[in-house]
Amino acid sequence: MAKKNNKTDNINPKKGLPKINPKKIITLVIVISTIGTIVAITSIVFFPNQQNGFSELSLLTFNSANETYVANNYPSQISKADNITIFFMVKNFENKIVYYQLQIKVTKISQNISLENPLSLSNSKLLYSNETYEKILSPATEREKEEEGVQIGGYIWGPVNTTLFMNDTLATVLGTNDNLKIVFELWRFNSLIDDFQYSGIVTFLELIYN
Amino acid sequence: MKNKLVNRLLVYICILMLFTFFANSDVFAQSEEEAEQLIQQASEKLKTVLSMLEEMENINSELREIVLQTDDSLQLINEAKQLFKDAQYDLAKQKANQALTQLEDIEAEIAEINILVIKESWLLYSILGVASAFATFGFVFLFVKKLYPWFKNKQIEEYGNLEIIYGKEHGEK
Repeated sequence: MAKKNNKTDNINPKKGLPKINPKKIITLVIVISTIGTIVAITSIVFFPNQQNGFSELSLLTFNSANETYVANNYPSQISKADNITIFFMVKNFENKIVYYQLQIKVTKISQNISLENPLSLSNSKLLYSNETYEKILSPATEREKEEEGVQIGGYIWGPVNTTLFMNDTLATVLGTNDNLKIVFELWRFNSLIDDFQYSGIVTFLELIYN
Repeated sequence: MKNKLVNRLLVYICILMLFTFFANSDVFAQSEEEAEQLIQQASEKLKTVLSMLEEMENINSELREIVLQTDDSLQLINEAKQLFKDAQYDLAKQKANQALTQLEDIEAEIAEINILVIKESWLLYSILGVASAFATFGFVFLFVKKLYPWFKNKQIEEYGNLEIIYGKEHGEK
């Protein structure tokens, strides 16, 4: 029986792997690495590192025994006669310059705190006017990011001594409650909207009002 | 006669007092307006400086110093606002003016840094451009002198290895 073959069937390559010249491989590697380096340098120059950062807000008390700021021994009571002294500290790890505002509000203890929306002034009262606590901070450097505890630097605001107080006007927000929350909200200035925007960074103290 | 003189004197004193009061209130109102304008101007300048600072990418020690100065101006503006609320318009004007002058200096300083950054960028881009051109020439040279001849040789070598069997093309038995 006749066997039908096309042209390719007639061509039988010799078996075995083709010889590879090491010089050619080295040349190829050099070419690829040269192109890779150019692409990498260009991307670094044109698309700088834009990783997202964060801000840190903490409440501290002063331990006079060893003269350090500590994140404990918080007060538990407040009255019209006795004010409370507390320290707050803000650190900028945002990788950019940030204009901060800290708002201190008094509200009922039952009031929920949201990370999405700030406390409404219909169910809370401002302890100080908006401009009282404002600061522009540089971002932390890579070395500063590794520091721990209370340091001093252009990326840190504080520890700032603040006096918490209560009066009859503030007490109206509590109604018949004797317990209250003093909420510390961190706001950031947004150039696009030309106003401060709630950052969602918040902390609070729960106190008994005598 | 004496009474008449006393009465006239009293009337003059009253007129003088009224005049002084109106003159003072006019100066006071003018001072309030000026203070308000200066605070407004300083606040606007602060926003301009802030947006300029936000655009800066490389935050070095020089820029950190500028941030501290900007923050100092912010505190001055806030003090001016507080003094304005307390109706201390002259002091408010003084503080706002100080902040405005400081912010104008900062603005000029940032503009100077920006010019330097642009110059440095041009230098960097030029070096990159020249390096890329050299790399391209090198690659073309390698391709023409080495890679293409190597590929051709390889092709010929491969064809050389082929074994052509004649006589089976048209279905011959």
